[in-house]
Amino acid sequence: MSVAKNLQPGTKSDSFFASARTRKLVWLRLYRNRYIYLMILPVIVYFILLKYVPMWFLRSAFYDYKLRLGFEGSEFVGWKWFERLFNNPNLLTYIGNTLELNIAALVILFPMPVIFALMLNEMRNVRFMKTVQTISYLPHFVSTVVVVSMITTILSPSIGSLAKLTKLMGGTPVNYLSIPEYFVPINVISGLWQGVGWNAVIYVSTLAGIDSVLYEAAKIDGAGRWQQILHVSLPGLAQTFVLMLIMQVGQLLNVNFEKVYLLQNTLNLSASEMLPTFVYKTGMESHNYGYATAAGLFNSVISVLLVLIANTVSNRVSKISLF
Amino acid sequence: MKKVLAIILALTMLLGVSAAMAEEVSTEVAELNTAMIEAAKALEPSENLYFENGLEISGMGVHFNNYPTEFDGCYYFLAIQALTNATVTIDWRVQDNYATQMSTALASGTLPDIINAGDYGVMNMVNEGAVVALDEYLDLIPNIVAAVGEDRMADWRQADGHIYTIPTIVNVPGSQSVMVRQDWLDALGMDVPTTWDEWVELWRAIRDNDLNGNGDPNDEIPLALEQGSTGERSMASLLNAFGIRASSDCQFCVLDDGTYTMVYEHPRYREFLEAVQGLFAEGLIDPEFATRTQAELFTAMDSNLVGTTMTWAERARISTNTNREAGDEDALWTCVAPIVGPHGDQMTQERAAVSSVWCISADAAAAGKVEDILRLFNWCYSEEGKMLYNYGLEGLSYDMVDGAPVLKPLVVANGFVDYRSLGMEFEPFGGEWETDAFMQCLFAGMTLEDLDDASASFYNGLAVVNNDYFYAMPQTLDTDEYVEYHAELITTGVCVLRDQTIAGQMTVDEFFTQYEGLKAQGLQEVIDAGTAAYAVLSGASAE
Amino acid sequence: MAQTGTASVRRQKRSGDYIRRTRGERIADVILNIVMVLLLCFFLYPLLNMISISLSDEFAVLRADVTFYPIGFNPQAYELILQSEDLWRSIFNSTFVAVVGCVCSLVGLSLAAYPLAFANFYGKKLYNVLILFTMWFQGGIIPLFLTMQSLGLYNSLWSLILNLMLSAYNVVIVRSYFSGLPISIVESARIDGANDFRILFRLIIPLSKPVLATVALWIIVGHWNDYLNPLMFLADREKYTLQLILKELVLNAESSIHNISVAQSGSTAGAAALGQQTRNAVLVVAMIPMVILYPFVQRYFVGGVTLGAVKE
Repeated sequence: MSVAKNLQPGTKSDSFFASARTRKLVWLRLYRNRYIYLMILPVIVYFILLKYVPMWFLRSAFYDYKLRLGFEGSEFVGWKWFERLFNNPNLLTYIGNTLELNIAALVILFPMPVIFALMLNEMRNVRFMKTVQTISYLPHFVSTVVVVSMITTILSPSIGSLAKLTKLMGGTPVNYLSIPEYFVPINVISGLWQGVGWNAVIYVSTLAGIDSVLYEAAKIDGAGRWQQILHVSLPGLAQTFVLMLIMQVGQLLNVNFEKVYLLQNTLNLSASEMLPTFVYKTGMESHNYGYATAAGLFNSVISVLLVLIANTVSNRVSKISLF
Repeated sequence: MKKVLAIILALTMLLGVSAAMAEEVSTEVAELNTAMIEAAKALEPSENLYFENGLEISGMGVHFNNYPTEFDGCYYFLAIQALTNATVTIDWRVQDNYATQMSTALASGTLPDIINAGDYGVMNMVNEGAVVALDEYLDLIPNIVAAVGEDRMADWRQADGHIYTIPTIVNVPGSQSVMVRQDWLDALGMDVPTTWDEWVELWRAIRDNDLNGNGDPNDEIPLALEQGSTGERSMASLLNAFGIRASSDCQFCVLDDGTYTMVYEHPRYREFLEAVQGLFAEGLIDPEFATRTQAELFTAMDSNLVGTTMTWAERARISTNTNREAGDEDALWTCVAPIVGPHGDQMTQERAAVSSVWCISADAAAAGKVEDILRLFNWCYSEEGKMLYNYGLEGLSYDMVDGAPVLKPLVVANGFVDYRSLGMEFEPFGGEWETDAFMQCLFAGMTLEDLDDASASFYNGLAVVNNDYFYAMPQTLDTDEYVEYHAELITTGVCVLRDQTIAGQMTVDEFFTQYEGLKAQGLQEVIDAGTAAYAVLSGASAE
Repeated sequence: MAQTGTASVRRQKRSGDYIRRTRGERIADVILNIVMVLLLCFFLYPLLNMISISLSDEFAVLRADVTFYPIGFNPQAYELILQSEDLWRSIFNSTFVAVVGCVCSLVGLSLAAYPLAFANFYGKKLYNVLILFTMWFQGGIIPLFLTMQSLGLYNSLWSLILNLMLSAYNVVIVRSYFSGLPISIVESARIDGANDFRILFRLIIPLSKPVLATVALWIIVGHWNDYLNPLMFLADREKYTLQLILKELVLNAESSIHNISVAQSGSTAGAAALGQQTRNAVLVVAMIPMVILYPFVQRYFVGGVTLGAVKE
């Protein structure tokens, strides 16, 4: 990790403040930072007003919440919705499906942008490289609804291009969308198309920020291209990668709701019912806001716990931490 | 370099697009629209209803299809204003995510006077205390009561037995029909099947022959049926063939003794399930039946893959034309009578003519506006109001010929398109659409003899072949129990079991075992509540 | 900034040493280029297909024959879109929101990130957690709507601007970049008596163009693609943003096929394909400005956006 640290000029410093801390009185430190406090004031106001005030609504998880009547008019029901959620015999299956999809995404979708960025970085023809990058980022603009309709069209055993290809090669077309085992692969591959280019942006620019001196030094030490990737590029990406990973761990119970929902059908539901889609169906479709909020809250608490764990582990192992 | 390229690319696209705009829209219709708007503003006050002090009605509703969106771009609202001195201003919302939009409206604390509950559901509005029951006001709206009619009262009431809405009424015969590829029948030398065995024989023949002539004998789908995106509405015409009078979502039915219950409780359901499982195993039912939504069905029909189906009768015309224009000149979809089952059952569900539109909000009630609003709606259902809604303005959009209104050729030349774009039959607002006006549009100024075979087939599907087989069935009753368990036990429960059984992933016995499990989890309560609500409804209607 | 220079120097150097490549490296290069071409096809095919469908003859669309290039030519979907009176106004609205929103966000993000990167003040940890926490906990759309309403911003374009102004993720990104700048600049400026605002706007922001350009792209794209928030927050058609109008056009085009109320026009086949074509044409139209924007921003990517840990 030492290379990564060195890439961050000024990481060590802070001696200025350290010495100040010992010498000055508390109020002096406050006074010195008067502009800082002035600076964070609007930011704090913003976050409280637009992010935290709406959170106060989350207490509707404990109410039989009626939108028009508000909290005054709604009945307090305590843990009722949580009990209903935990008493559902299929809850564990849904959580299992959600984790399965997310872990597959974490293993495949998450490192792919890094590999893609490394490949772009290794390309010698700059113009070709930029073309590939520009085009790879375009799928991000295609809405999920359209992506899903592309998927269903391509995979359709009666009119899809995949079926035509299969027939051409003498096979029998398969209705992939009706087979539970194919649900995760379909999701991951289409996710790759949608996100690789867009998500690679941060790695591409991190790579570009690596000081060329490091590559020169590696070359002098006799490192080939492959070694340069292993010993310079990858360590340069490590910190970004780990921090992205910590943030991503917080999303383990979330999925691209719209996509999963639209790809579901009665025959693949045993693999495709996820926690968010289940909550949407049982809570939002019947306008049971209390129940939907309770399930969302459960999800958020788990997410924060996961992030805390990931952050602590990362801090212990690699000294990289988000907060 | 790259930037220049990007800009050039974008400019070319824009230019190409602007060039494409050169074609003009029909100016005649636009002129007629302007004339109708001017004429509507100049109308004299009505003798039947006039609010001396004016009446302002605000509303929130769903806008769909190609009707005008602007209040002052449509003769209809301007005419209402001139005639009755009532100003109706609707905040039109798109259909998409309407339930969420309704949620925010409810949460905001103030509601407009009239609200279309849309996807949010009338009963949910009732549970929020947002709308008022209209039962005690029925004598204020005699025209609407008459328009609904005695035998359709149950369709007007909600699951709790009360009336909450001003309905929209479409007095048009059933609109779905079973249809077959006539040209495929001819090629096989077969007639339209009249018994179950003949139907099965036809499906096997479609399976075994390369009827679309693309060189692949295996891609024809003998029977393709639409499935709702959540897994409901599956296999309606086969349920009917087995004598099960199912609701349009295929979840509930009425037994012979008049009990409303789930289709799975029907004594014939086991036989139905075994038969469908057999058909699927034989390759006679669409392998993609579980994902065959309406759009997918249309695509398959247009792609020359489907042999028989049941869908909107209109589709017989559209797909025939599409198949022909795509090169299959003999293509013809013929609408035929419902599929006959092994026991000789033959039936199809009647179109639900009464649908809920406007609720009157608690806010309007607090402001004391309920009576006036109802008077206005009652007027909309009067002779005067109905003429305005169905035919527009005399001399402009219609003429009186032998005492009956006849829409001008210009209005109906494009079927329903211009008729609607002028604001007639303004369905997002609602009213009573008369069969006569509908047929005038359908025939577009022609007679039955003039119609080409595709349009004649459409007409047959609408108004001829199904006429002897209709059964009436109320919309699925959204009792509290139904709303609570719908997703958990029906769409992600029993519907999944059903499709897995059809696809051969479980046996019929296993299906019923698991179904009993779902009943223990709460499905029994849904059934009981539905049965009780239906008994109350049919009792109330009988009074 | 210096980093931009070194990066481009590195590129030149690395492409300059062609001759010294070993055989293995050359094979690797060939493989790499082949992989890239394959990837290009993977990314491009659905997009080409989309453009082709939007421009093809409707029967070809219905038969699902259209692949890489338009079959026949039928611009009816574009006609439909461009005939919309609301289109240009909505483009103006979207541009306003994207541009003003972007400027507000960049200023806000800089203010939010600077203290985390360059100051050591009481409550820093709390301040950091306050921001990060919102990454995993949200109130949801309805309470957000209520908040906007109580701020008097319902039916105002400012509600959209405010809504996407600051996000925890973007604060983390900007803060990381700031942390990567040499702190000595800030220290010496402080010694010279400059206050923090002056340092931020005169020194730090000009040095942070790469990260600000990247984040600006994200924000503009975010505003441009935003659909659900405008749907909730806006009431007047005059204020509708592009995505709302485009979605409405698609719905109208589709409803002429999947029409629940029985019957339609004489020209049926054309109407049947229109929904699909419109959906694709709408995507093309909405994508054009982003395609133009990207190359302008792309050169800043080489400046290096890093994601670093917070410094104590």
